[in-house]
Amino acid sequence: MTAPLLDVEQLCKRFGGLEAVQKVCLHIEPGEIVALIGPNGAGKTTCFNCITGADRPTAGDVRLDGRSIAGMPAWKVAQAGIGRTFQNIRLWREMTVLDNVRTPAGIPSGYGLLSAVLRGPRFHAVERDIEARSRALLALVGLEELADARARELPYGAQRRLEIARALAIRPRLLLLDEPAAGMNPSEKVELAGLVRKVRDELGLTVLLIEHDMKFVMGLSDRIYVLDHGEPIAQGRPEDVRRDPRVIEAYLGAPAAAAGEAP
Amino acid sequence: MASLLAAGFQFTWPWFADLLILGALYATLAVGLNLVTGYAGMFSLGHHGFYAVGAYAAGFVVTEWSAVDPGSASGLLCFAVSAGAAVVAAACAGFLVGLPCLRLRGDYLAIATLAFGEIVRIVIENTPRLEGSLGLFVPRVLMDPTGRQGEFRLLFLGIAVVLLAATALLVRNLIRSAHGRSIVSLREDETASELLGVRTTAYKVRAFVLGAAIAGLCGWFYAHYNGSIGPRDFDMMVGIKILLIVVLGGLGSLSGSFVAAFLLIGIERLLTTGVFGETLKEWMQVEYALVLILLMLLRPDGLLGKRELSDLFRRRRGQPTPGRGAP
Amino acid sequence: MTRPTLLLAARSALALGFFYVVARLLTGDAGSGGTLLDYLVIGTSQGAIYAFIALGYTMVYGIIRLINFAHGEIFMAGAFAGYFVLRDGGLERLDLPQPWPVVLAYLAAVLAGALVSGVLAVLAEALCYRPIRSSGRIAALLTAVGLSLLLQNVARQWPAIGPTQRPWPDPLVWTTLADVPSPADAHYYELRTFPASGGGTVQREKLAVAKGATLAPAVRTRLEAGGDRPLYRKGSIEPRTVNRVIVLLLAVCTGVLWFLVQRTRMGRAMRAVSEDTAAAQLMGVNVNRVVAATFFLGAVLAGVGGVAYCTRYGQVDPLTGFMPGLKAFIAAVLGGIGSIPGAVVGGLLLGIVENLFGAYVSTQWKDALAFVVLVGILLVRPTGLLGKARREKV
Repeated sequence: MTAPLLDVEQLCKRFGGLEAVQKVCLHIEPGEIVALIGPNGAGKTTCFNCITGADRPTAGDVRLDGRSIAGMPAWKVAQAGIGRTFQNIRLWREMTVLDNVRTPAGIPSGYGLLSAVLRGPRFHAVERDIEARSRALLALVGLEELADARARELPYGAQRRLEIARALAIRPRLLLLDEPAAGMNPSEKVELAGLVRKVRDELGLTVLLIEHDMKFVMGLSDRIYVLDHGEPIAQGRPEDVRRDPRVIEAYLGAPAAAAGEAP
Repeated sequence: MASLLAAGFQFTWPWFADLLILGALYATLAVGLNLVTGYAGMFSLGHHGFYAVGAYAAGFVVTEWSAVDPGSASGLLCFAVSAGAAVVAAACAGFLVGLPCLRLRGDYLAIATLAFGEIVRIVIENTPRLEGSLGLFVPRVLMDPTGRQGEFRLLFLGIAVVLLAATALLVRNLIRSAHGRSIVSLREDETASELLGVRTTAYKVRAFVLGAAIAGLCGWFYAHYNGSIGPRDFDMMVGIKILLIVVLGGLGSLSGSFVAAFLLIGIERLLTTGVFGETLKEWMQVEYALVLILLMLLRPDGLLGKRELSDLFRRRRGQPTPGRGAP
Repeated sequence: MTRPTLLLAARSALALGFFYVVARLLTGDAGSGGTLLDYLVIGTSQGAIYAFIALGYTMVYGIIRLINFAHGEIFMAGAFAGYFVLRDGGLERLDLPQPWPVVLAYLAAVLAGALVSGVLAVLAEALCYRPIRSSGRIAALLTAVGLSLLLQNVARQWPAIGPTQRPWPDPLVWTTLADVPSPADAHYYELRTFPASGGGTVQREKLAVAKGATLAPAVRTRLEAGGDRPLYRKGSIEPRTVNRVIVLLLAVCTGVLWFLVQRTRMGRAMRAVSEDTAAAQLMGVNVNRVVAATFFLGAVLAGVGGVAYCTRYGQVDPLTGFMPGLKAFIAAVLGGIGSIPGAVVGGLLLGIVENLFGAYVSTQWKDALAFVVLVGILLVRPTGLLGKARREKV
């Protein structure tokens, strides 16, 4: 059994009087596609924030490849190999599509400020490499034609895909997707699922995603963790989780659980 | 032209050169501030503080230097050393102010930098060595202007143009690089930047210090050109003028800063000669304020927005405009 | 002892100390000497003025996240309104028992200041701030700065106001010859006649009497020769009285403000808009009206503060609002920008600390202290002493 890529141990996060996340444990093996689901307000994005360094956990540990990253500044976590997208799109709107990808692709840049100003051969070599990698990623998500458009001009679905390309640009080992299918129509969701699989199969990444769309999640994930009110209530393979009465109750309420309905 | 002559105004070379020099100086100041506010998105209302620090550092060096013949080797050395002092002093000030304050965002950063600008002014006014409100006299080390106003201006115009070109090139090359893209991402969405690996605080400090250094260099230039410096040369009105130029030209547009600087300085100089009437001259501060307000109400993006002049020409020819960040 | 208990103890001690100082101010003679208590009293009164202005900053920031840089000029406008009312209003000439004419004159000045400031602020909001509400932070900031400059310089250029400093009008206290004490305790006495209803010149005679000197017989004869004509004594209000009134006024205004914000519908609407503008609008709140009301209230307080400030310092000019405005802003940040009690606490604290620093360390660098305090609080606790941290949702 390979060591888990991401190990979240007894994670707790409190905001003032609110226990947003309580004793959450996640273990993600390399190459898996894992989903984190639960009703609204269950604490899923808070978990993401604790993992990526946007928030500091109140208690518990987060380990990436055995190394503890809890409490590390966000940029360090990103450079250690975790890329993410956001629940509400946070593109760099005035920058071009290409630049949105080139920015993280150029981290670390490989040349200093002086080189940037004086522009020796090293600068040009590195820039060529950055551009090539960025265009490849744009091609992966199907946006290579729009490379020179400003990010804010893109339609919604394209923006979501750009966010993914951007997250991939930092060459992560683990990709965190926060509701990537939100607001998409069914055919877009099918394409997205294909993209996620491609990312795992061709780029060798591990994926952890938050989603509300059950069908999307069931068809795509290897394993699922379920949260409710900040606490873990179930985990396992999709087929097992959807039949778990606690999960049904969390989503549809107690009577539905009794009646044996599936979410 | 006729009205100018009718007002008895002498359109002389020294006057015109002075206009060009100040235009170039303010354009350089604007470029420095544009890096901080237009590209990095950091509100700096105290930029004139760094301008002052540079000027006084240069002035201090010159007054401490033993008496020199303007134009001699010693004079040139003094000129160069004072430049170094100005840049280093301003950069240090930028670092000292920036490092603690750059953890703040938006409004809070604006007022922290405003406070800094005021602190610098108070320190200058209360430090006897710097002559306070009387003004520090900066002896000439490069050239003695008496009787040779025209040549003097020409020399300094050359220096000003070189300064402006070098600074603009520096900023332009920086912005169109990986480091520049990281900096611009700070303006767009700092939180996302940090979560995608950008060392936000480090880049904020770098941009801030660089902007401060540029302002410091401008201070050095002004000290040598003007021959004397006083707190009133670096008060809040000056800071607002620089900011106005940056905003007028467009936050994030270098050529916009050029155009706006010469436009503003040009109009200001013309107004002060009184050719447009005494009333307009007296109400100049009011006019500045009105321009600022109207600009915000009608065209907050400024003349060029985030575009450069070259973009406008490219549009006409039907070519696509590159995004900011292309090398 | 646990940390919360220590904090509570410290806060209680400070509060008690403060109330003691206020009590001494209201009842005793404190404020005129050089003791610690005196400096604390002066600081409290100065701080109260900062609080008046700070409340305006904090309320506007709380509701639309705008730093109203022009607020200092609103303060100045109120001060000038008060100035003109005091100087030319003539209320002190009313035929009422003393000290009512003077009191009414000042009341009118305060009201004028409050109204002028309030109306100016509402106009500024409608013409300048409302159009740029959706244009982003830089636009808002620059508009505010521009407005501040505009008001300052219009005042300087306006012929009736002008750039020079004007002395604050001294109150005239009507007295009779019998009341003229000896030794004299004012600088001079004036004989005045009210102009006759059909016209005719006002008769006026100034008799200078040195402070502390006894009334010379010749002077007394001249005054007696005036017969039943009313006698005016020009004097200044005792600093003690000024300090007391300012502090009491702050207490009253804070109380009224608290009531308005917590117990009225408009206050509820203000709190709603401050929490979540979009939601408030969806709930049927007229956001524009609420914002205008907020500006008005904040400005009214600033206008009152303006009259108070100039009464205390004895002069007024177009740049009067600049420094106090800046310092009051620092006070608002110190207390927690967006928090009404924070503005009061911050203002009082800054006033006291500034005065103690000026008294025991250096008066030259007193202004710099305020800025150092600002940088300090921004580094240690940017949301201020009483402010709430606003979390950014990722």
